[in-house]
Amino acid sequence: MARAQEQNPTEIEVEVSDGMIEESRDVFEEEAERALGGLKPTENAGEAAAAELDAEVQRHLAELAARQPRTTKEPTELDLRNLNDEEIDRALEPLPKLDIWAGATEAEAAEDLTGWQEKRGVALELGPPVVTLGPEARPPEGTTPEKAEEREDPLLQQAREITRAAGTFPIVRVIKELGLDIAAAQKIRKSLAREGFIDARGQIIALKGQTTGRPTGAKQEAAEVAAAPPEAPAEVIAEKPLPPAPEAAAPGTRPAEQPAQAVELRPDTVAQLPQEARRNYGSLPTREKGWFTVAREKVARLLGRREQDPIQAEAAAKTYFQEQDRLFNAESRGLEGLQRRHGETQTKLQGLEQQLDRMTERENVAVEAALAALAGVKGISPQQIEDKRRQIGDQIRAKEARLRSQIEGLQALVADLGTKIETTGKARKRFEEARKKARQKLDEAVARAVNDNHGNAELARGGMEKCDSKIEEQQGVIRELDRKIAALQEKKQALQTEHAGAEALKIFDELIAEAQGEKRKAEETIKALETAKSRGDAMIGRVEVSNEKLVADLSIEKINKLIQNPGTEWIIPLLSPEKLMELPEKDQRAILGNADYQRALLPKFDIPKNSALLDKLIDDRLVPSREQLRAQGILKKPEAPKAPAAKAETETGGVPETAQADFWQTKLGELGRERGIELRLPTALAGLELTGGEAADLVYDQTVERMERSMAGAKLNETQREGLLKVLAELLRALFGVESRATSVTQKMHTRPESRVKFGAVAKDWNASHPTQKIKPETILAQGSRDLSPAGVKAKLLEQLLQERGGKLTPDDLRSVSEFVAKLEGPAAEQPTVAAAA
Amino acid sequence: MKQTSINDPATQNIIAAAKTAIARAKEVNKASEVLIAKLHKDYDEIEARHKEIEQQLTADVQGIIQQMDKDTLQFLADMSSMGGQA
Repeated sequence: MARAQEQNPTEIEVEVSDGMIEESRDVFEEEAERALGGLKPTENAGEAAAAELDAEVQRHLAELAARQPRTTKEPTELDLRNLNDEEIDRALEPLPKLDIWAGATEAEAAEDLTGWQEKRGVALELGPPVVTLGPEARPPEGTTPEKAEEREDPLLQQAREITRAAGTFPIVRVIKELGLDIAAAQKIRKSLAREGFIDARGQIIALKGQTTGRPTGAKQEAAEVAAAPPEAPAEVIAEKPLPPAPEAAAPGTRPAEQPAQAVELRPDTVAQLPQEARRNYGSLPTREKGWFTVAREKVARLLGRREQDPIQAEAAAKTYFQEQDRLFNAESRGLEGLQRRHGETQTKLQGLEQQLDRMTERENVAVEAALAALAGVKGISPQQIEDKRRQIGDQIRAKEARLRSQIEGLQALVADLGTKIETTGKARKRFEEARKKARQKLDEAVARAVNDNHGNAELARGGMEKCDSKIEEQQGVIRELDRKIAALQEKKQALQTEHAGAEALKIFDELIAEAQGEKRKAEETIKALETAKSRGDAMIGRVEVSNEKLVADLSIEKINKLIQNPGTEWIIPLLSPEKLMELPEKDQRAILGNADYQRALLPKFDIPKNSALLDKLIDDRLVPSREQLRAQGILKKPEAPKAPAAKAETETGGVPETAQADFWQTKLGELGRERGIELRLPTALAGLELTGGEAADLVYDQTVERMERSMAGAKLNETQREGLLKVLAELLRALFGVESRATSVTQKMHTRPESRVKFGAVAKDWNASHPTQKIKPETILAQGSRDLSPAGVKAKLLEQLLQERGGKLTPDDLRSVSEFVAKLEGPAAEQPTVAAAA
Repeated sequence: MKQTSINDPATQNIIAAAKTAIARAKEVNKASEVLIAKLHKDYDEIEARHKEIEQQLTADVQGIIQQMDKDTLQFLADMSSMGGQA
């Protein structure tokens, strides 16, 4: 309760018991003084007047207290009790609606807006003008006003008006709530969109002769309208419609040749973009490009380079996902900012409401206290005080009304922001769903390809197994024929010794010739089988390399599904170390608990870049120590010091474990030029990261293919392939070193103890050191034998000698064979180099 | 010393065994030829299928990327329409 105390007749000091006046004096002192300025003090203020004023103060305070938790509508109801008739009429009058004819010029719109603001007594910051749709909309000048329901097609009429407005307003938005229900607003929106006037967001489509793909008539009309007003403000920004998605490229075409569709953003749209996006947009060389175009162009470049290579296409998709991530994150930050602003605005709004309540209360209290104090002042009549109270009350109410209007405006903006956040949230969710769907589709497509590839590899493997068994059978046949030929020759010799008849000898000659003929045929067949096997081998190598790359880009969810599926668990050996590490630990444990999988997977960890991953597996006790793994033969043993010659050859200036195909291509090109052979990686690999072994494989395949093409499609025979391998062996050794990763070519060249190259090298050394040789190891190679193991070689050599010696071997023969085999089995350090073999 | 004769059983056995071996060799050679031809045919088919798989995957990925283009543009458009008037 307020209480006034007079201390000096010439000075008025106001004190309010609850401290509110003290608190508000600074704020309202000036206003109170101004309000009281016209009053002259009187000597005799009556007790009754003072009591009346006091009662008035009490009542007013009670009312103010009751208004504390009110809503925005309450003041109007409350105020009515204290308002005079005029004030009541004004309060009951509906708030004026901003009503601008859709065809108004900018000046007219501005005039209407000013008038409206004056009527409301406030200057709300509503942003750009809006266009009212509804029955109140004024008809064009010079036309007879029509009621909306009398129009032939009112919605379409309004649509046209909107279009015209597009030429005169800085920004035009369709707002549905003014005079129209939701259904009608939506109908309008559809009509506008159908006619090509607005896009799906309700934005006016810019009409600078752009191809919109929308109905030509409407587009033309809209363009004319947009171009018509000479004073069309510069702020009318052309916003191009969404660019059409690129057409599916026909096989062999290069999508990159299609110009990237630019999204030109309006400055006000750019201003609303998150900071990062805005920066990106600003840093573009030309404003013609939207910042998003950068991502599209990157993808287009990738696609353009992919030719027919699915790996590249798949990599493009992967890059695209990354670009989308960046976009999504940037936009999400924007949304978060918006949500924060929304929260802040709501808080601000609540604060304002509370502030308004407090201010009103303080003002009333201050005034009443001042008036109460005046009641005792000489020369001021109660009537004067009452008049002043009324006058001040009016001012306070007017001020409150102004503030209420501002709060209402703020509430509208908060609601608008809330709607936008909701809409944006939905858009974000839609985008997330779309991404999820795209990821699933990509997973499915890749998994399908991997599965089909695997099926093909299995078929090829089946063929190779058949080859192996057939080669074995053929070798048996040859051995059998050799034995029979030897027996026939022996018998023929006996017949000759015993002077058998020519007829008898002829039978033997014919049989021997026939057997030898079949033997030759069998030998040729073995070569043909070897060729077929090599083809299958190369095919499997290609498919496996391709599958490994594809699996590396599958999502971990998909991989999880595949490895749990008994039909697709074959994918496990194709996993990259990174993917393996992404799996749950229990799956890692299950996989690495399997010896076969260990053998397939752990060697991939045995390179420097994956060393830390292997350490983690060892620390987690998922696999034994490195030493144990080496002892088990799962990891390679540490390299033995190389012989000086070999060492010199491998010193190629620090060849990396993996590098971009371009790097390998440069190296290969140099080496090839030095040796007069063209070594080329497939161009589609440009930009791909390859190991040296993979590069070696691909060079081999590419070279074979090129040579076969140059031979009008004829296939290289085994000898030609052998020669090519030897040349490549030398080159690849010089480039990658002997310890290149095990791939089919390098396996052939370096890692298999029974390899032909090694055998050839030992044979060459042998021939050089045994000029009067008794055995001819090179003939084994010439026969195309694949069994170059020491035991196989021994059997072959003995068989060879038996044949030459007519079934009888000397101790010297046996010694030579043993000596050669021992050399073949000899320690690695003593073995001749591959270069020597070539 | 017994004279070797073309007609004696041992000689006939050698001849018969040689003929059997030759016949067997012919059979195996023939079977190998058939196998080789079949393998090359299979490999041709596998290569063709592999090419198809690659083309299909390329087309699938292109389709996915196109859809991603649309989704991204739509997302961008939706987000760009956010107001900044509050």
